[in-house]
Amino acid sequence: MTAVAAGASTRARARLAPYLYVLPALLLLGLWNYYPLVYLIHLSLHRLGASAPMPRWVGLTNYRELFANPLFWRVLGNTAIYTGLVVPLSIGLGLALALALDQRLRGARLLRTLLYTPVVLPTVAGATVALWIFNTDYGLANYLLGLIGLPPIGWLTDSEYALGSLIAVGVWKTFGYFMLVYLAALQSLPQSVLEAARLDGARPWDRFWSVTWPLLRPTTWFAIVIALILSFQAFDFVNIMTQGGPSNATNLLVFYVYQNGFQYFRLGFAGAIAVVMFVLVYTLSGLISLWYSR
Amino acid sequence: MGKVALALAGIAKAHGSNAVVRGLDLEIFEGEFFVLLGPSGCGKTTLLRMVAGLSDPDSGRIALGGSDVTSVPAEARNIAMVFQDYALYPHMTVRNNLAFGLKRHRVPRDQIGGRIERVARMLAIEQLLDRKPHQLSGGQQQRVALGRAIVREPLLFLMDEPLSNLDAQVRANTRAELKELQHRLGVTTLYVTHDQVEAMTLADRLAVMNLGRLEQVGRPLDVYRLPATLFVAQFLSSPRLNLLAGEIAGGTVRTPVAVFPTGGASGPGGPVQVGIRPEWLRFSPDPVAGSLPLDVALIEPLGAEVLVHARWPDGELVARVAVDGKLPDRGKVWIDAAASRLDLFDADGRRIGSTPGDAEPSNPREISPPLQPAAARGA
Repeated sequence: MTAVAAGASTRARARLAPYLYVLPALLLLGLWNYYPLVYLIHLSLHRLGASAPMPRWVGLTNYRELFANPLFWRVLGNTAIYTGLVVPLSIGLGLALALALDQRLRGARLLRTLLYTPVVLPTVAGATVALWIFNTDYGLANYLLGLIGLPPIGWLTDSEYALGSLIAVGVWKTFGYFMLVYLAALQSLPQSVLEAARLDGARPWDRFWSVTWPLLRPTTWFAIVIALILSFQAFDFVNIMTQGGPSNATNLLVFYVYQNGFQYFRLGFAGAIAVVMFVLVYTLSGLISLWYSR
Repeated sequence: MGKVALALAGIAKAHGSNAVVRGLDLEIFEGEFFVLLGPSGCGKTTLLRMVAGLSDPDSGRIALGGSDVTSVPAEARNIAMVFQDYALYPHMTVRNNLAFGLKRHRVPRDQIGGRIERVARMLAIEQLLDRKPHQLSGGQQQRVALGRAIVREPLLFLMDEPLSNLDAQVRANTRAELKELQHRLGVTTLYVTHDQVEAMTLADRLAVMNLGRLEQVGRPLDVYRLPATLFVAQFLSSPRLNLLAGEIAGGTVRTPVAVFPTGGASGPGGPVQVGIRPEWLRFSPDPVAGSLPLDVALIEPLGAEVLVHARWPDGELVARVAVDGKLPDRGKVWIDAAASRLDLFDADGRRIGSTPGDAEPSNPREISPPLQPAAARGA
């Protein structure tokens, strides 16, 4: 081999190397993520399940049925309310607590650990505790209401309150994570910039809105995308606490997919719901990223 | 001197059990460029932050323009500060960086633009006004930081090593500009640095700080000529101060390497610490009575001057010698005791006096040697 050719092959190898490094990860992701996704789309165009043991091509029928189904719109509405409240509430609560703990506070470490506990608590354990708190007859929530002379509420059994209870649990489970993310971001903010703002005459709230908040933008973007995905995936609490009831008041998209796929065994229809959900999450994340890079 | 702009009385501050500033008094006059000089960890930045209101003194009072501001928060003190890392608002354009403080100090909206334009012109940053900090070079960021302080027209400028992140060339230029600018604006300035050249060149008056206390306050050349303590002499010496153990007896100062005449400088007699600045140490190529022969170990050319390192078995001395002077060969030299000037300190490092030597301290030629010789003549 000539020296020139050897040099060229070394360069070619150097160009190829990064792709080889990511190949194993891509293969695994392909097996667990991309192949199922493609199969899901394939599935959503077929009828498969109790009524059709072999997949049968039906085109967009599953989607037509889905969009014509009032329950789908109910579930979508529930999911929108759930996401629309859990995302800002968990992020907002996380940020507020991070700001509080960022001060040189006695016992901040302990508080941080305590507040982070719900995140690491197994969902089943958390759901069990929540069931006990929200139990209509002997729950803590109604006991407290009773103390101030208010009548008991069907937290999980009254369709007016059930989604709200689920939202509260969803926030409780995730705010600790965002608190930690914001705390890390706050502690890496350049202190001198905040001090410069003080000397420029900015008082605490002013400093927060004109300096801290804009500097936290990358963190907020990250938090919103993560919170959005987490809340769209909400399933465990629904499954354990309400089974989507009463009368579908707490039926959220993933649970709806589960119901159709694994309870009613309408795999093609469930696939169509999952595809719609995927498109929704993907579009929303894209819009948020667009806002961020503006 | 004019009116007192900033007065510190009995300022003390400890971090835990570690006293950082220990009962410090200082007055700075209106329009003065005052430099706090000291090694890192001496408490100078802590002191600056207390003046700014970013940190509270454990005890003592701070008065600004005659009124006590000890308990006034930083945002209400009307002080502007230039930070070491510039601390520009990274998400704002240069224009908004400059406007930020003006808006908060309720400057009428129609005046803000004009003030920003004026300062931008003064600092030659007009063409940068719509850029963001990350699009600027270090030197440009530094100017913007300066502009943000100037545009406010505050009672006091605080500067925390503002030139230390610049490269040597830009630093020297900016230093000169800074001094000129401060004189033009006439705003009282408290400037913190560990760089003796910055301190000497910029200061109307300076204070040398060590271990939370002020060792000496005065005009730069006075402090340089008559260091009150051994620490000051050492800190203001470049290269390092030559230090010898000595003894005053019978009109002489005896050291292991030479016997120096006191030249009338009277002392109680007994042991002293002898400091000889490299520029005030004279070597002779010929034997001098009472002087030990020294081996020339190293000659470092600086340009117009050279550093001559000479050793004897127990130590080394450094002299700064003009190139047009007699250059010792690599060989033996002797200390020209009569021509060298000594600063004498007691065991606690307090000044006792100086011997006159050749280097008459009131003669400015000796204090800042002319730089023209060799290089200029050679060209």
